[in-house]
Amino acid sequence: MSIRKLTKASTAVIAVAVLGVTGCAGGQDIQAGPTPQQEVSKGGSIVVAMSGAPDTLDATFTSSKHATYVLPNFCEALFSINADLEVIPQLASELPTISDDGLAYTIKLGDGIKFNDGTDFDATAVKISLDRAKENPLSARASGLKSIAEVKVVDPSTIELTLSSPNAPLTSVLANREGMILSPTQIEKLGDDFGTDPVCVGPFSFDSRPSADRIELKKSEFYYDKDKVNLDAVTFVTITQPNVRSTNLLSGDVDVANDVGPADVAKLKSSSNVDVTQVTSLGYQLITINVANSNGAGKPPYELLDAPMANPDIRKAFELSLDRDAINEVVYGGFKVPGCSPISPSSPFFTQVECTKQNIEEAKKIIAASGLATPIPVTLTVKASDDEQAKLGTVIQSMAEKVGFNITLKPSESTTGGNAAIAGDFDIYANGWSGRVDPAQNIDVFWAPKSALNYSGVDDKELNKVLDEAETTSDFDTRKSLYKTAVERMLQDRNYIVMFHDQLILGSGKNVSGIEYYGDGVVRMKTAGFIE
Amino acid sequence: MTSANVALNVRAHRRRRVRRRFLRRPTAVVGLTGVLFVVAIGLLAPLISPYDPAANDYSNLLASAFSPGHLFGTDELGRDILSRLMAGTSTSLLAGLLATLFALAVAVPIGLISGYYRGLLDTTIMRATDVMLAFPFLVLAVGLAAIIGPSLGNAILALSLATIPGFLRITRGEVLGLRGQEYVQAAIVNGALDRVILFRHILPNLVSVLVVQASVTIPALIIGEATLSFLGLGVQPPAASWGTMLSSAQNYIWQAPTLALYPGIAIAITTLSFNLLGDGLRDVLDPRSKK
Amino acid sequence: MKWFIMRKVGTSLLTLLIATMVVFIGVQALPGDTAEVMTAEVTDPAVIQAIRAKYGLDQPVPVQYVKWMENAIQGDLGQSAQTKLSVSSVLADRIPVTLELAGLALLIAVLIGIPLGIMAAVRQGTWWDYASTTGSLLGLSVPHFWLGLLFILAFSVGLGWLPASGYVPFFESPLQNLARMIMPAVVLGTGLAAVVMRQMRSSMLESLSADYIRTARAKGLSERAVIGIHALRNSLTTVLTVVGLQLGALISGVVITEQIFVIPGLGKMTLDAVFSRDYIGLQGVVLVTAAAYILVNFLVDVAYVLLNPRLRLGGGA
Repeated sequence: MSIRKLTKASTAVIAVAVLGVTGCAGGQDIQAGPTPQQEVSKGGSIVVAMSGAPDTLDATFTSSKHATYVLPNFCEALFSINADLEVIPQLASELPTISDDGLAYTIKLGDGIKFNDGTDFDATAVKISLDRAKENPLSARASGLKSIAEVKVVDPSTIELTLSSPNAPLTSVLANREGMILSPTQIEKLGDDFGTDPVCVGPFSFDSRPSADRIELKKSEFYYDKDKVNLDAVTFVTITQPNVRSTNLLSGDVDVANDVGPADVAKLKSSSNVDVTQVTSLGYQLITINVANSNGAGKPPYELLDAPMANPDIRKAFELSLDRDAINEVVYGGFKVPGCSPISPSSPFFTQVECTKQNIEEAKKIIAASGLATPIPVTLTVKASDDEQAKLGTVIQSMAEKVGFNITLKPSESTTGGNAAIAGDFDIYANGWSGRVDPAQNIDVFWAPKSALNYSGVDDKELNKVLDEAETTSDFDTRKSLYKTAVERMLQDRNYIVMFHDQLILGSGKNVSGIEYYGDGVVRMKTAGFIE
Repeated sequence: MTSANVALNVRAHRRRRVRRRFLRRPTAVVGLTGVLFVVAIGLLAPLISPYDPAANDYSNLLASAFSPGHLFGTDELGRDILSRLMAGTSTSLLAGLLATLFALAVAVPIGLISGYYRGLLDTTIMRATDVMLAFPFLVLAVGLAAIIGPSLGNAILALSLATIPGFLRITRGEVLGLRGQEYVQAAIVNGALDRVILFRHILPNLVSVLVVQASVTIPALIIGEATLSFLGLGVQPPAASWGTMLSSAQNYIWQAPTLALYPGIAIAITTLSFNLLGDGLRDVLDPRSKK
Repeated sequence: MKWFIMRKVGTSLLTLLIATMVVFIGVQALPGDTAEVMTAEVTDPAVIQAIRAKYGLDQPVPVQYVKWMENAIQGDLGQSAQTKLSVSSVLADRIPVTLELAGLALLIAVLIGIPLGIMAAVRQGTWWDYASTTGSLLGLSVPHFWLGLLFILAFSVGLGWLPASGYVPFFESPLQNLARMIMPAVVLGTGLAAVVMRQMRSSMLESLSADYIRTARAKGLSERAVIGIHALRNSLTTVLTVVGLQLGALISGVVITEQIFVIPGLGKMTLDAVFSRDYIGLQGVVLVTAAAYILVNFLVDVAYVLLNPRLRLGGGA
């Protein structure tokens, strides 16, 4: 399994000797950012514990965030991101050249790259992957790539994309699953079953998947950057319960634990053989309010509901009853970042906004002025069988009660809850979004009138204009200021009340280093290894 | 004296003898006391509970036992554990009792008919019972929760469905045995109505066996409800159930290990009492059981 | 004799057949269907319809059932919708794990229950009898998941002697395997041990008071020989009885124990399949579980009759 136990024994001996001389300090502060880079030795195999199992390992079909966290280790994309969440070239040799009207993208590809089955990576392979992502009926990537009208092979190392309308987020989209390039030979061989034995370009290649919760990777023979890869093998296992995941990390049964639960952080911090890394992610938690959805999300025109929450003042009163800091402490152990913008503080597009603070008196006044009979009955849908969600619901319930809401909790199984939200069959819904690099992707998902996840039924003409402009301009500064305007308007409307930005917490053994862990949650093991 | 009067006298005499034999067994008495104690708490919980089991107190999270105002401390939302234990008592007893009663209500009539009339009906019912038994109750409950959503009501439904086959078999077995008894044969020969035979001769003898069985089924179902709530398939938060309390306690196993202790002890005391009671009843009521 | 076994085989197969129908229909009743699960992020109904057609999900239920059974008999239980892993091969990996857990639990139950049961019968009425009876009731009264949590608290978190969870295949490292199996096996075995003990005690008492025993004693057979012979015979029937009675409870216990100790067996697979809406996987594992239950019951019934021909007469519970 891992050589960590042997290392633990020898370091223990050394530590005892050193302790007497230097008086080593116990506990360690959580470091922000990627794990510290130290000299690592070659070889060894690492076990990473994830909080959920990926569905399929086929980049075209997958819809689970856990797959997103794991795939880049054996399936690289045209672009990637760096620690500052800026898009950088990966399989492409440089960022795309975009025409002035934003309708033509020219992408130059890297040289001498091979797939993990030894076949050559070239423009034809890129075209095959992109076409598959657009056209395969089961593809979950189609909507991300829908602005692309045609993919053309200019020469073996150049691809040209023709768009039907300008789409600024496209480059970030191609840094995600949409831009992952699959081996045409393997697609030919396995077709839709590609996910059972995926072959792409990556520091590691897929070895086997004996069960849904165990994925085994081995070092790739053909990777273009082979020299930077240290480990011989990486195994991703799934341990859904947070405390079990942490226990395994402490005992050395796994070397890395993703998504450490807030209740366990203190224990890990105070242990002598575990490091904790923490990054603010792109994702956020929010409360969705059904304002105008009665016949399906994504199907405008929407009609304002005859419900108390359809009134923006009542929504304001509701937000005024909530204390984000207290909720953060009690429910999340202080490990989320209170906020109200769908753009994460770790994103380059972030601008500071003023969030509504708790004000019970003002809330009560608003409700009194509205003339509605109190207590106002509202049903809050939360995810069932989820301890954290149950706590969140309970706390929101008791806070809103103080201003005159009577909240009934409705725990729903996640698919059922999701379907109900789409159908408009809810009052308010506590949900989350895992976050993407481009702000458009983090906003459109809920606020775009035709979005399939527009549970609230938002169709604000003014807002749409600003968002459309931000999506079609490529200039960074223009977009940033447009999004500032958009977010300020969204804060006034309160169709969706963003509550927290997620923090991702990674636990790793002290003898492990070189894991690149950024705000997108991907556990990048390319340069990871054991410290010698 | 008419035969009816004789029968009544015999029964009254038997009841007195049973009571005496019962009281002579220490374990049975302990069991009965425990059950009465738990039932009392369950019934009186809303009245004697020191706090509202759903009252959050963010300033006093995870307080340890014997802290001021909280005998058993508080949980992760500041709620008083003693109050929640009491509320959980009501939930568990309700689940165990209702599920058992429902199962009896369904199984006994069917078992009576099956055992009395025999024939094709009997064979079909027995096969159906075999099929039902092939599915472990947890799988049944999980499937049910997935279909109709998790809730206490659904947990009770799943629990009773899982118990019906057992009661059915016992009832049928008893009926088969009793049917062969002389006085029943005599009644049949004398042309008595089926209904009369069933109700006057067979059912009363059935009662003692069913009482014993029920008293050991209830604790099993209490554990069943706790298990389902533990998995998130039964009682939903913020309602208090021993199962949900244990489920949350898992996450705090380092910070507050005692959180996992109390609900489990409550379950153990309750079920042990019922089991002792059931054992005592069996020794005393069932003429065929070993001492 | 042969006639009896043939009849038993017949009824078992019939039960199995009906069980497969119940499983299939039960899964149909679950919300959403496989096509919807596969196309989670796609909302175009035409696409979902196309998927249904491709996998034969738009056929009438009886037709789908027949197709499923045809494949199942040949060993193909389909592919999990999301991961495309072959359900049969995943089951093949998980069955030995659950068998090991159940086997160890049974072993522990027998090692503890049989001797205690004998002692309780032989020293009937003494405090030893009362103590072990109450102890066995305690074993029955404690929920598996709580016992599991307590063990983890004591032996993993507190003392650090045993790993809290996980599984290592036996042939990879017997020591690691047992270190991880011991707590779950003891948790499962406790309840079983209690039942074994009570059953053993009761059957020992019955045989020890029989007439021919008094005759044997009168003839001069030593007390120990008398007890020994009956202990042996009763152990066998006891274990069979307990297995027959407790099989359902054992399977439920396996489900929850595997969940707590994160052991990749059939029980965990069942729960995972429901929570992740892997309906095809769920069908497969519930089918296998039901078939195993019916098989074991069949074997127990036959063994019973082989041991005691007087029980061959039909009817009864």
